[in-house]
Amino acid sequence: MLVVLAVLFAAGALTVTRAFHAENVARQEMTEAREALSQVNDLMLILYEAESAQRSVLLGDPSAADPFRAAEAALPGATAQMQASLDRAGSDLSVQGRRLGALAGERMADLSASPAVVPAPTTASPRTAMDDLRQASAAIRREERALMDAAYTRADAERLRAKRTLGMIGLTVLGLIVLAAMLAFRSARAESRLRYRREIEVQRDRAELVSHELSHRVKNLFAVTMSIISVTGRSETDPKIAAKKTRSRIQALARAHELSSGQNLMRTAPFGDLLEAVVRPYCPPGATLRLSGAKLVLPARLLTPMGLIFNELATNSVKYGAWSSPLGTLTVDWTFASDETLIVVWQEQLAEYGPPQPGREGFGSTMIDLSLQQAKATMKRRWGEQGLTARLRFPFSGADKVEVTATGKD
Amino acid sequence: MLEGKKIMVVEDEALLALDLAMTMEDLGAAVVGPCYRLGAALDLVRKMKVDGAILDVDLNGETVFPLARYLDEQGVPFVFHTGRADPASLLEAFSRARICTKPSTPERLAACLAEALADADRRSDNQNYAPAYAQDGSSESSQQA
Repeated sequence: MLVVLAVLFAAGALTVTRAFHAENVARQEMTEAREALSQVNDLMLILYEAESAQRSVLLGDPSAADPFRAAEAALPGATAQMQASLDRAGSDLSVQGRRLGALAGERMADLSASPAVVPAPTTASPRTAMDDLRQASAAIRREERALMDAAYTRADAERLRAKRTLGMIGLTVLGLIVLAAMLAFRSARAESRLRYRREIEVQRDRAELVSHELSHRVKNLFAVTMSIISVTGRSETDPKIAAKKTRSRIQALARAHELSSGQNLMRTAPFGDLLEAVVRPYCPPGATLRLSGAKLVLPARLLTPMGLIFNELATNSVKYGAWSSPLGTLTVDWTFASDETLIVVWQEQLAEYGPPQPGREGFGSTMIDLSLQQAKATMKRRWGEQGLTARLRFPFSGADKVEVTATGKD
Repeated sequence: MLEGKKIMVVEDEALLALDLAMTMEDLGAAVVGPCYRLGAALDLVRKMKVDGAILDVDLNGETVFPLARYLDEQGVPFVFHTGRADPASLLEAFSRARICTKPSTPERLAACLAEALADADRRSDNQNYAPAYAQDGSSESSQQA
């Protein structure tokens, strides 16, 4: 590309130089021609002057002899000058100039020969002599003009050629610029396509990861569901009760996992939302549920055990605790302690205070214990006059990426 | 088929572990565990000999592979119980392992494990017919006992 541009510039410079040169030559020739013509005119003027002075002498004016002499004296110089100019212009003009000079010399000689007398017989009549002179000078003028015209034509041709060449160079440069722009555009487009493809790959990988995780979790949930059915079936003799408990446990599982979907597969919904989803459905009409604590995003691994734990606590409350009457109150408070532990206080308030009534130690508490173990959590239960108070501690590992914000949830 | 065998159960879903443990016990096996975490399982298996194991592959973000390698070295047969979609890569690393995909009934898992135990028995019988037979009388003596 650079080489092409350099060649183009060299060609352009050469063309322009040639055009200038032709112009200069034309101007030079014109100057010379004008000089030669003016010298021819001078010569002719000297002759006219001599003729007219000689005629005045003949008509009786002796003072006219002086101009005649001056003209006679000026003629050889003028002739020599003219001859020198014409010699430079070319051999043809040089010959013609010599002829004109000879004719002029002859004429002057004729005039000098008889200044004051009747015109001496000459080889030619004065008029014929002047005619010859006029013709010779006109021929020189024509020739010089032709030379000038030729020079102008050459300069014009050269200028036209320069114009064409420069135009072509301009077009080529324009073409090169367009080509370069197209190449730049194409490479930019290719780059953006590559970027787009990479972005798509990243998105596809992410989607694949999410789909793998989802499929894994679904299989796991089915396995857990099957276990709920079989272990609940083992612990209950009455098939109706077994079916009811199985249903409520599967429902708790479903509600807990409903919170994690789409983008939230890894980091699931806030803890408050989990309680809302799992516990709230058990709240009898008229009874109260108070939830308050920091907004805390749970890791996915805690969804199943937490869902099952709080489901058992809530069903126990409906069976034996605060929610066994429509005026009871359940308060759940939670804080995130500095040692990366979630502390949950589950406090029931019976409508009517009475003696402590720990519920029947059924399979539900085994379920709670198992889920606590799974979550590495602990729970302390205390039954007072007002009902059950349970303190649960869920330790979080560094991998859980806990998010805590100041806003509470009630 | 699993009667009198010591079977280790490693599973991080507590309910699933319980279900498996109960099924194993129903079949007459003695359950070792259930273990919810890799560390606990490794500790346990170093302390006591087991005849077979059911292993969940993903344990709360850890893989069960260190334990599987240990059992493989000890010649203990085991079954992978997993929801993973790529059993091929598991078999590549553990050629003798059996795979039972989640969700699967405890009965199916038990059958799978029984097959694995039978395979292992065949393998150790073959070893006994090898030239090293005279030096290694341990299996024979245990049969006598």
